[in-house]
Amino acid sequence: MLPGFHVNSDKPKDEFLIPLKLTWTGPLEQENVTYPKPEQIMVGSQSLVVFTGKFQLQTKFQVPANAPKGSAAMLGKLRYQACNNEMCFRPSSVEVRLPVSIE
Amino acid sequence: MFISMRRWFLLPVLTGMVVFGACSSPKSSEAQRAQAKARASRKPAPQFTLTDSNGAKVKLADYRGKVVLLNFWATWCGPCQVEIPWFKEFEQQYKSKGLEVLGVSMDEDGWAAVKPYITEHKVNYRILLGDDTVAQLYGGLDALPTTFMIDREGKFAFTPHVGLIGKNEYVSEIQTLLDEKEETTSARAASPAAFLLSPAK
Repeated sequence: MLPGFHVNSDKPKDEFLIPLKLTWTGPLEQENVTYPKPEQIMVGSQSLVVFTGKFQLQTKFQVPANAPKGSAAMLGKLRYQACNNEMCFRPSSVEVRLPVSIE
Repeated sequence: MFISMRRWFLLPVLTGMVVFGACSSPKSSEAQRAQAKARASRKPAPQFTLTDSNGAKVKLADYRGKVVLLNFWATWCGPCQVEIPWFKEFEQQYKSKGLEVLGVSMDEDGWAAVKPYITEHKVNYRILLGDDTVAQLYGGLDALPTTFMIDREGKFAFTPHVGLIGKNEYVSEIQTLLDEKEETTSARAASPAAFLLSPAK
């Protein structure tokens, strides 16, 4: 993210804020998603827990017993809501396609 | 297959690819009275009809004769939350002088998200639920908060505020627009026509 911008963490303090959320669909089962440790910042008098800069999310998948062999793809959807200290942008999402090979 | 079925995959996903445009710098006008646009150059605010939290239809045209602080916001918007206590204060302080604060929520989840928020935060001014049509009418509203100051004639009196600005900047603009009525009234009273219409002493 560009300097000065942030997205809410996966567990924002305020119930009304929109968390960062990565979800997957495809032949593998999503075991869990690990988010990085968030930063705490202040916007006015409001304390926020956010992600800034470059960060990684890790997903642990499991191959189900009935998964078909061969090439496939997992489709990830990252929902985010970004702001800087002055303004926020509408919630949005980006999609990622992850090729996988099931042997 | 037997081995692979028990294999775990650990896959990193880079998410730092979300790129946004540059942000604007904070504005810092602390003047007691802001310089409004010349009246002749002011453009009419686009008309809309939206629903308030009680289900009533509200038209912007209903507020003709009032100074309107029209604030587009959302419950998920941190900077918007900084402004809301100011707007509550303005509602109390300036309503009797002719100010109406209108908050238009752009929450995608509608009243299900907005009503708990306005209850919890004791929002004392009128909240409407926005939609894509009104967003387009007001320039897209890609960033929140976005606030328009509308004069008593229903026209934009200042450049819109996109993003958080200082409370004093709002105060100075509100006072400027509220004063316009007083100036007009005074000018009318001092005009030759007013003199001719005044009762003979």
